[in-house]
Amino acid sequence: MPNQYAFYSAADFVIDDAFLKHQLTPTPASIDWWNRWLTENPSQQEEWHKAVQLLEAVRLGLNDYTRTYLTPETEAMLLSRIQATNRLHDEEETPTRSLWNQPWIRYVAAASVLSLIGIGWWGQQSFQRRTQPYQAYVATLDESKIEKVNQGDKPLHFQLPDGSQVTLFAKSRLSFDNFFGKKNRSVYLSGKAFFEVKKQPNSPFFVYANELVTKVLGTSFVIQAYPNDKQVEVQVKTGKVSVFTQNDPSKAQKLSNRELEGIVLTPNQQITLNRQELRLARTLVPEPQLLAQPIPLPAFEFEEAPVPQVLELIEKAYGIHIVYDAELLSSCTLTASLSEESLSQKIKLICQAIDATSETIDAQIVIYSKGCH
Amino acid sequence: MDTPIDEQQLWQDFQQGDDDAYTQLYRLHVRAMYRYGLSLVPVSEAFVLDCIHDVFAEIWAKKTRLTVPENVRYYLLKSLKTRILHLLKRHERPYLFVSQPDFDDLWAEPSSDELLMQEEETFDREQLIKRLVSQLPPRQQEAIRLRFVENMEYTQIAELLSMNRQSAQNLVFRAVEKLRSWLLPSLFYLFQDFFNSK
Repeated sequence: MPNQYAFYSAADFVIDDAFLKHQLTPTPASIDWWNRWLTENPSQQEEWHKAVQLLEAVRLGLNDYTRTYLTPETEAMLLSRIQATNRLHDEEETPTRSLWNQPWIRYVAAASVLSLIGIGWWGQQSFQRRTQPYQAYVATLDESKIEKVNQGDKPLHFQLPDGSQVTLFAKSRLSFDNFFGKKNRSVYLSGKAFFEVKKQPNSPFFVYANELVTKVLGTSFVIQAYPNDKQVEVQVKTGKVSVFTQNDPSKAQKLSNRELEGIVLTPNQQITLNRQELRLARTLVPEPQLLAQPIPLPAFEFEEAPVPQVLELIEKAYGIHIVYDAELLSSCTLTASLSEESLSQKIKLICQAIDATSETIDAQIVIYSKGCH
Repeated sequence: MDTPIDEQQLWQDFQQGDDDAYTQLYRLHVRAMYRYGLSLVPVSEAFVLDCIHDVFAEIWAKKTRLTVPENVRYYLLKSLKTRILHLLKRHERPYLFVSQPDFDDLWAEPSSDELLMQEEETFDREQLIKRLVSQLPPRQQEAIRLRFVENMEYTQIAELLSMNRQSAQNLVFRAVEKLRSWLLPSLFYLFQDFFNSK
């Protein structure tokens, strides 16, 4: 075969692609080829062997570089950092971001005006493949964290360092870090718990439960978020809470702000987070309760009372919003005793009396009527 | 030889959103990226790690739009260097020499007296050759690392050093030839046992 290496020096060999490939990653074919070449070109054997030694020497000189050591810990930490960034990216790519950036939707959520039901769509991540959020939260806490576990069937009562009261229901866990009350007031919940939060306007209280974050200033409420539940529920007993999802694009702002924003829940309202679709829906709790009143309200005893007056009283008593046309309904009067009835029974009876219909939309009761003559 | 891993297949799986394939690619190349990055910016490990993070996060974000690289390691090293240079330029850090071709001319070569003294001082052949390599101009060092450790082809080295293929090959040749001439008196003496014992 023609010898393309006829005038090669050791350095020429060292930088030659075929020579290098053979030296760095030999194959049976390359061994065969170079052995034949060496036999056919005995005069160049010495230079070829010098080249082999020179290459070894250069690679030896690069050992500091080759052996630059990345510790397994650093390698693993960097990987989890990258994966965290990627998750954030995947969540941001969902189409709802722009929806949340619309001022009107926040207005709808915050101002409790008669609104449409759908509040938002976040993300279509695969729900099944995710690790449980509770484990992920707890992993961020250090060793000094405190975890309360209720394995039994009876509710477990305890007090948090800030004086807030917690009732932890069966098969539930609650974690918080050692600095609770000093640096923050954040707790992590798996399961169901009732909270009576001590009011501290400068230090909001946060409950992280599955994908939902609940922010409160001082109030009482129940959260149910078991690991395998399809939804997360928050029911408000007193005060106000705001909720948003873990992947809400403006989460950081909502966490740091002292105001309540996002979707604000008032007593007798509940929010349900569909975990599969990450969709929030606000409704009334199944059995709305009468609120404690600073000044006692008149009894639900009516004699020829204008219906708007009756509805106003119900609104105040339950802390809910009823939507109706006051002008139309001012022609309707009611004579009834409604003290024993539940909220839904009261509404039903009033509607029957004035020939109207009702519907609950987005935690509000809407009365449809043609008026009375 | 180990069974070769089909990196092109891994890459395609990763483009479909396969986390495991992505993690495997990370594990295959992160050490090379780390050492190459550190060789470019030796002063800051954290900065290099940030840049590696950026490269992997970026390919994840753009995964559906990427083509399958012929040589994954080359692609990742190239992206890493681009990222490093971009950030260095933006922050106007003082390490810009890696991209200045003229710098080689300013590099003072050790005199033959100095070399002789070093050789007398250094009984350990590995220490000696490492010291000689460290006295090569930075771009020559980078070129021989890429050629002899990362096993990049000259066209790829040329890309990484922003020059044409012939210049890249010349750069490697100059480094090798210089090391050979510096080592000449000692090469076959000092290295004889080393290679005979293998």
